[in-house]
Amino acid sequence: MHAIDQFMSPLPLDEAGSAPAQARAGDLEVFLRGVERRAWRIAELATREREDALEIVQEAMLGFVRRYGAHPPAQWPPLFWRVLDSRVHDWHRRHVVRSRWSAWLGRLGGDEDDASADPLLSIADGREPGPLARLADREAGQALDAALRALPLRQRQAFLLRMWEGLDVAQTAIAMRCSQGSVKTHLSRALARLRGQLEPHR
Amino acid sequence: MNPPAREPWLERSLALLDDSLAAVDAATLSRLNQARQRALAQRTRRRWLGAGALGATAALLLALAVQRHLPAPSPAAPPVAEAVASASTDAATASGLDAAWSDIDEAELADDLAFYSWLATQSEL
Repeated sequence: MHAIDQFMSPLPLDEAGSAPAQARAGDLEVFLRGVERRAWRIAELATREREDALEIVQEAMLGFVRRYGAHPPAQWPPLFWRVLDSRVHDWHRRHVVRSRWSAWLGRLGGDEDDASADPLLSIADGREPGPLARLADREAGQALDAALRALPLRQRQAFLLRMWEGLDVAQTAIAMRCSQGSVKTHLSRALARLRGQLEPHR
Repeated sequence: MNPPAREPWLERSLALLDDSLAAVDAATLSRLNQARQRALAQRTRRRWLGAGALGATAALLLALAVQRHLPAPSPAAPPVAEAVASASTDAATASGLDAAWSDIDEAELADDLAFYSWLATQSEL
């Protein structure tokens, strides 16, 4: 059985042919408590929006508990990050469509001076500097924040899941819904780009 | 596969990311806590719904089993309406008999009176 099938199948059976013991709600809470901050940081790096990131984490938790909460706890990490990655991609798709519509409507409007009349422009910018910019080592934090945000989504996800979250290559492939070879490629490119930008800040 | 060797810039970056978790503001932490509790409550609700559906199914099966094993109602036993009608008929019959017996008694008494008056005339002779 392929590794991903083993994770995604309904509950695997043990040697006696029965489903393994159900995970306790306490285990699930401990697991979610352990990943929620990193999940929010990853979503926030992808969206640059605190509220959108919170919404993504909320949806990921609901989806993960509903679909995979009864799986053995050892399988939880890649499955949770898979759900979160899926929600981040959904957000990006919606965002791209919205951006294209906005650009198209902006072109229809013609005169750029009229943009000042757009009520959306009067809404305060929801982007906040983020926790990295509030660190004591502010300069290094901001450089890392900018470097991570500048990465393409797949490269950033590969770096954060593989290097920061500590998933192995197979687990990262499950989380990112791609082959292990793709994970290695995305990670290699991410490390090269980050190294070029962050080595001077050592 | 072992993770790639950690270069100093990478170690520093990962340490900064870890530190950033401690710098998450209280409002965000509260929202994350609410999100977690909502997800776990959903699991509890689903369990209760599952238990409720199981209980309802068990109750239905039990009711069907009891119905199958109950003795069928006796065909000799008349329905209530028939029993009431029969009882009233019986009562009417009884009252009719009483009237008949009363008529017979009165006829016998009349015969006796005629006999006694004849006997009195015979003794006077």
